[in-house]
Amino acid sequence: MVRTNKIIGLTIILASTLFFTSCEKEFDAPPIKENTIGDIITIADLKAKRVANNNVDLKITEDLSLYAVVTMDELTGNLFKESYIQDATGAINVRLTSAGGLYQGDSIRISLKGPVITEFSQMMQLDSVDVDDNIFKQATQKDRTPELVSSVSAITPFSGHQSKLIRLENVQFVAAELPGTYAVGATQTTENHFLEDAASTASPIIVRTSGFANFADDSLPTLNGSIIAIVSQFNNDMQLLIRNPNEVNFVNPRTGPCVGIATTKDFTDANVTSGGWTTQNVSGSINWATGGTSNLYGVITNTSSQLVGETWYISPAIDFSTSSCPSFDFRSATFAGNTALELYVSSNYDGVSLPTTATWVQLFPTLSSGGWSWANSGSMDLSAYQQAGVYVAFKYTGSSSAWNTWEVDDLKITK
Amino acid sequence: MRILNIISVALILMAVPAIAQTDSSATINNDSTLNTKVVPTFTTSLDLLEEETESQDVSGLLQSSKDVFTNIAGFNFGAARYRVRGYDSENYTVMMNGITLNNPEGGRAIWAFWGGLNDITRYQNSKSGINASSQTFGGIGGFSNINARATAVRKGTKISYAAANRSYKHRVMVTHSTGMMENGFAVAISASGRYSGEGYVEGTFYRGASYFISLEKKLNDRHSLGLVGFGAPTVQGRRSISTQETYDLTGDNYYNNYWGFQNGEKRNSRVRNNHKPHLMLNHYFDINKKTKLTSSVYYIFGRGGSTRLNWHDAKDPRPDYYKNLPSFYNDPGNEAIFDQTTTAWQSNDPTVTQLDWDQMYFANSKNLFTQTNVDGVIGNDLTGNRAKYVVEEQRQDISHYGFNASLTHKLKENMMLSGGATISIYKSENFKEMNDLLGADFWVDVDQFAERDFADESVAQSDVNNPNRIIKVGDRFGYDYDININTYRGFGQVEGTSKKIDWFVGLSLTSTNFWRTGNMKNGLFPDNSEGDSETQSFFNYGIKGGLVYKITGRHLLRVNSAYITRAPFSRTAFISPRTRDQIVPNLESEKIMSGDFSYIVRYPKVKTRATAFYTSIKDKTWSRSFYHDDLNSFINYVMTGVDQLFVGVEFGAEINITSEIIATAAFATGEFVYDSRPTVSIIQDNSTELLENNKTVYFKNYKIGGIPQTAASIGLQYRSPKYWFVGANFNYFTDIYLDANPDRRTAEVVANLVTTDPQVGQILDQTKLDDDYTLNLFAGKSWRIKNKYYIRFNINVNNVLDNTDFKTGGFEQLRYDAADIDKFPPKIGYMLGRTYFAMVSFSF
Repeated sequence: MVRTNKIIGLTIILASTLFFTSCEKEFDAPPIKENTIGDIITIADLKAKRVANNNVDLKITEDLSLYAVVTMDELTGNLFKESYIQDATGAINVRLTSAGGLYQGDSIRISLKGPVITEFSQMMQLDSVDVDDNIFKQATQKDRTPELVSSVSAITPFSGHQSKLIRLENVQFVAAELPGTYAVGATQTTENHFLEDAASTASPIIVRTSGFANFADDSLPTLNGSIIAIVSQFNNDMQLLIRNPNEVNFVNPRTGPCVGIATTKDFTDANVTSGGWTTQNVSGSINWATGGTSNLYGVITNTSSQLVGETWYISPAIDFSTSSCPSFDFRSATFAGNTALELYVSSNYDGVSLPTTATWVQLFPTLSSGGWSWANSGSMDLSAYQQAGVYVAFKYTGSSSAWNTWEVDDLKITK
Repeated sequence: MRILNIISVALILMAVPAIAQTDSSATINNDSTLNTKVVPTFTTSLDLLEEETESQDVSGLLQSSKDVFTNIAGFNFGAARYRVRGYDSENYTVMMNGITLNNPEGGRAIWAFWGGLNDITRYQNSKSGINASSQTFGGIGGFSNINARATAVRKGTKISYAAANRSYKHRVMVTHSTGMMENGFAVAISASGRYSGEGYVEGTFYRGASYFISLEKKLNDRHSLGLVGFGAPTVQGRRSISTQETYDLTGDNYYNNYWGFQNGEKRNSRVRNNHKPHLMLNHYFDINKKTKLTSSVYYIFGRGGSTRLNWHDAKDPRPDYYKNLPSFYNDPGNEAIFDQTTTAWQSNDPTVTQLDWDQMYFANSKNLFTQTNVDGVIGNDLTGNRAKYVVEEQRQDISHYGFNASLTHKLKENMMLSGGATISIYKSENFKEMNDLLGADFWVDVDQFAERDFADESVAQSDVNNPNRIIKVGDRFGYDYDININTYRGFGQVEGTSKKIDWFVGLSLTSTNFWRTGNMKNGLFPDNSEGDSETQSFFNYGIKGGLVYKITGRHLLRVNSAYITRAPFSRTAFISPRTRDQIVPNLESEKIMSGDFSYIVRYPKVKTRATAFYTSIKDKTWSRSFYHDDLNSFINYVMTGVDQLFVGVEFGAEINITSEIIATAAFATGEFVYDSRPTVSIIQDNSTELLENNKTVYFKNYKIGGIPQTAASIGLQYRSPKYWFVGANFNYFTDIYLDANPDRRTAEVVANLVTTDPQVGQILDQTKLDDDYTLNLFAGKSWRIKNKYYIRFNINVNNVLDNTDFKTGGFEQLRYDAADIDKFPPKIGYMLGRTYFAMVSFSF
């Protein structure tokens, strides 16, 4: 019996040993290249290769690898069949053989065998890159932090910023660009707009946006703030490419000469109340009308009958909360100087009730001194009203002692 | 003895147990066909999947085995797709009355052809592994011989009803056997019906009938004649397997995309409809006291069919087509459509997650089309609604007849000589038949892919002899060819027995000839599609031998070995038999070498077996057709020199702890791997252009997928002397791998990669599925009334814990995109949750 048990035990052990020694074989694998130090190059090395090639375009035939992070992709449509990549040594524009498949933040290895290192109008490019064949993603969402550049003027053809992801602070679009849009989506027209340092008057830099970008028709922000962009170059022009409009973070008041978006009521539609303007008869029934033939204007008169009454002409609610230099101006004309027309501003009017329910502060514009000559009011500074729900209003008072007629035009609210 | 018990119990704790089948009629009657039908199968191509789902599960063959290990494995491992020693079922020989029933085209026996005849098929003699047999040389996996002689069926009548919730829900069966009557006749008949309106998996259904008749006439003391006829017409709506994404989206691991609603009713697009009657005439001749001769003629014929959707100039109607799934849009910028598609899937909107039959009818109802030059007659135009979508039935109708003889002769008291000869003449007709035009008026018999690729209109014709043929329901179309296989086989065996040693040696010689006959002249291949192909001839041999050394009568050592060459199966030999007669280049016979060593203990109360085995199968051919993204073509992928290795151990034990309590254990583990670097040729399907040649697949040591390579079971049962029993088995499975796509393991795919790239692992690594377990319960009771009536009740419940997360296997799709390996994710199948089979029978 004991012998038998031994046999059982031995058999099991023998069988198990036989099996387990044959166990855990390595999976077969096709030969795969192992990168050694010399097989990996940097973006700086890559650029140097073309320099070493007497600045002649160079198709890479060696089995080299380059590791980098994608800093800009095609998702917003500002790029098409291209991308930007960056590593510790620099950045370069990558031209793809087909669109798609590469996303911002992708950490990639580029197999360089096949692509061409080239230059287009001073812009270094890695051309003919096939996302399927040449690019091997190592990880995703490895976004690079943009490099903070001190000023617009620090970006020059020689500053080494080409193709890099940068961040500028305290910048704004130059006044002449405003109002405007990044590009024209309807006609798919690419546009350049100048961006300046608020603090300096040095030459501004171009912000270039494709008409295919999904934010082409977005308005250019009027304020001042920070921007994240890729630095591109066209000959001697440095250009910024916006990845996404949400990286243009202009929230501070502009500096320098005030520019704002103006909304002007010029009465050419022969309509007193268009554009949100309203009239309120506090007393009497003197009403605003339009007048003129070629250049229409708004007019109010108590007529030769010298009617008595108080009539207000009130703007739509104005949101000045993001305005850098809120103001109001207009021009006026009258027969002879009088005080029947007054200008007020309120921040607590409700837009529908009688104006007497709100608090109004009088403003003192330059008014026509008579002879029907038009007088510019001058800019009424409303910077004390940087908030929403602001109203400006003309108050006309008709008295039985005088026949006063006032004409107003080009009522311009500037945010 | 007690020490031995203790040791054995210890072994069980390490390993696993079984059901003693001392009285097979009283114990659980696990319906093998049922297992076969329900169990999902996984192979790397749809064609194979088609075949394998109807092929026999090894468990069916093993459940009647007397061997402790195979018995437990048969009952408990089948649902997890376990295959004994990892072997494909082509390595098992299934016979009835000595006639081999394995299909000559693919080598597998298709259990479904005698499904529902459990009262008959239980009378089988099964052995696993290399064995002596007086009736066949057999394969390395073993053999099973169903004894269908009328006198073999137990005399009496048995009526049973079974309720289940697997592929069918109801089964009735009636069997009657007269035994040998005074007039020298014996008659056994059996009939059954199986039915479900909807099976366990949504959209599946089952309607099957089975009939069997066996007559035997004893002519005189030396001669008996037997006639057997049976068949099992079965119609079955099938289930799909799909990607994990679809299971996650629908929240259903049994998501079946084969069905959809038509007028509010579920309709399955994949319906199998088989009926292959078998007829055999046997002559039993006792030449003298020492010599017996059994000779038979047989004829097998009938239809095999499986429907599927086809479409022309229309969008892919399959809900799980990759472009219809959210993952196709899972890229930045496509968030909106991704969310929309995801929501549609998650809401389980049947027009999204299932086939949309109404939409297909609608599309067909308004596709007015004028087919010009019908049948090639200029000016013969036909205008009507041309079908965009149809249901076609792919048919394989067979006609198989042959002669079989086996002789046994007692050389001495302890030495037996046996031998046999077989002639098998097999022909299958392979074609498509139009099943349903879905409301349209006609279908035109052209190949839409060829139509797209070639300007010459004749190229797209399925049959140049009948150009622009109009197809109506019932017409053959698409392809039509015959496979002819003539096999001549002889074997001889000598076995001897002595006090200490039993032994056997056997030799087999086989001649195989096969050829294709094309019945259509395909427009793509007008010169090699019609008529007879060259005949492929193979001459093969096998030798086997075995030795049992009896240490004592209770302790045995057994060693077996075999070397067999096997002709390649015609199924893999033709590269694309539907269109042409091209043969795989350098077609070779497979070489099989196998050996095992066992230690067997047989006490009345303790039975154990421990076996170590080693099998190598060399020079297999593997061919599939699929769309190759890198080559932008539908291609034929032919891999030769595929070697496989099967090394492992098995252990089984059955211990009667008391006379009423029996403990069982089984444990098997192995390394079932590819053992070579096969060579690949890639051929453009519609031009035979050799796109790639002599490409190496780095496949060595990749696991053979879709099966657990390690399985263990422990069980306990109580058998009351009062004729009832109850038992349970706990089963554990591990080392389950997805079947690997060979083309992903080539140098070309990783050409631009370096070792540190994460893509290397994503492309090359083989996916291992999670370990999992099941608990099965069974119970039964029998009553004897008036000494002549028996009522028996038994039930078994599989997967009692309702584990619905058990991934039993799957395969990597052959279509792949190396740059985005998740684009075509693997297809995965889950084991069914809790299922039961309960039967009550009445016999007298």
